[in-house]
Amino acid sequence: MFNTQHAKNKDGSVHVILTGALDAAAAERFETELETLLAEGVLFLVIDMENLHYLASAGLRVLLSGAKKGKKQGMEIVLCSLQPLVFSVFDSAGFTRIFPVFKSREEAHKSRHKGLPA
Amino acid sequence: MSHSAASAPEANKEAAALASVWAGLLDVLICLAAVMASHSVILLADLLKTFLEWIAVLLAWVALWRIKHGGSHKYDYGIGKLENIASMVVGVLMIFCLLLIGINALRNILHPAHVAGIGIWIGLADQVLFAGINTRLGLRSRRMAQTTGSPIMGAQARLLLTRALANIFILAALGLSMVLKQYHWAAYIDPLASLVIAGSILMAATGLLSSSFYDLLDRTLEEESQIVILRELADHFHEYEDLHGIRSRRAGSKVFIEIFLEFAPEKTMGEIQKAAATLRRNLEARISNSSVTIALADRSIDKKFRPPG
Repeated sequence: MFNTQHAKNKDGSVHVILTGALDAAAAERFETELETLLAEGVLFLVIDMENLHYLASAGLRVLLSGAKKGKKQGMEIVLCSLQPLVFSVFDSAGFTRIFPVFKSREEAHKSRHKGLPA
Repeated sequence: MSHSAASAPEANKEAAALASVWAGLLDVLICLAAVMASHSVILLADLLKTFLEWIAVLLAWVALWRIKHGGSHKYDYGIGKLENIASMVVGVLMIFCLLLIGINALRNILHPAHVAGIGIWIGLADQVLFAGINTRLGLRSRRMAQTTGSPIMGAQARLLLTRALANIFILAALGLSMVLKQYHWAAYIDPLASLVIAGSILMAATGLLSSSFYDLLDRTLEEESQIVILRELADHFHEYEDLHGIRSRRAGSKVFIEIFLEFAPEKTMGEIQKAAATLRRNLEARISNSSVTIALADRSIDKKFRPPG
């Protein structure tokens, strides 16, 4: 079961918490949500994966596509709190070179004005 | 891909299968002679099994011959299916063979008799000879299955190596039946050994049917290969403007991948072609038996074909 929760901050950034499994069935829904955020003109998006226990290739594809569209529209996407298994998939797909990944949501939000993690 | 490059592995597979056909035919004839000159049930079972396996090998060769002399590039998807159908037929024939051996073994358990006759010696020589031939051909088929990913060569390898093991087993069973013929119970070695062979065939047939049936269904690519595609796209992230979709499908032993990319308008056609060729080349090297197409797109392919409303 896949679920998302959004929280808009005063500075215009959005915090999205992903819960469950981002598999082929959930990917289309997540893609639509990303597109909605793009259409709303969000400029800083934190994707919180603390409660995400499975990330399939379909989910990675949506993230890759989202990174491309976000780049075009000036939206920065950062990720935080990845579970070890999810991080392993994420890293093996080479996505750590595309997305800044932070250990906590606080670090992720702070990064907005500080740049990429070391 | 040029035609000659595509047909070379098919020609190798056909040659390997043809060698198995001739070897199998020789085995059938020797088995027939052995059965006619003996009263061994295990040799009768061996003849039936060898004959059915020879039909299976012949069928595989026919399938490969059709692939080589068929429609060149026209049936790229169909070749995989043809190979899988042939493998399924091999599996069904093996079950038929299993039943025949089972019935004969049961009959001889109920009416035991010691093995005798010149046919036993012919049978012993046949087992020694074909244990060597089947092992050699089986290992050759297995190497080809590993390099080409062909289900039919995989089926051939399993069939021939199972056959080689059966040769060794029959050799031992016949030898023990002769050495221990002064004992009453030795008359049961022959039919009981036949049941053991039947068991080995059952295992081979089950594996063959399940894998062929699975391969026969067109299906999406495994997650590992999907990750390889995404890794390649991540490695070349800055070379394209947008990703509009990935379509991938496994048909038999072949993998077809289509990637829909948008490139920046300021890029020249030469730059786009170079980037697309690099992606295609890298993916085809990393995913065996794959055919990769990089298509230019300016919108999501999934949404483009979605019905309105």
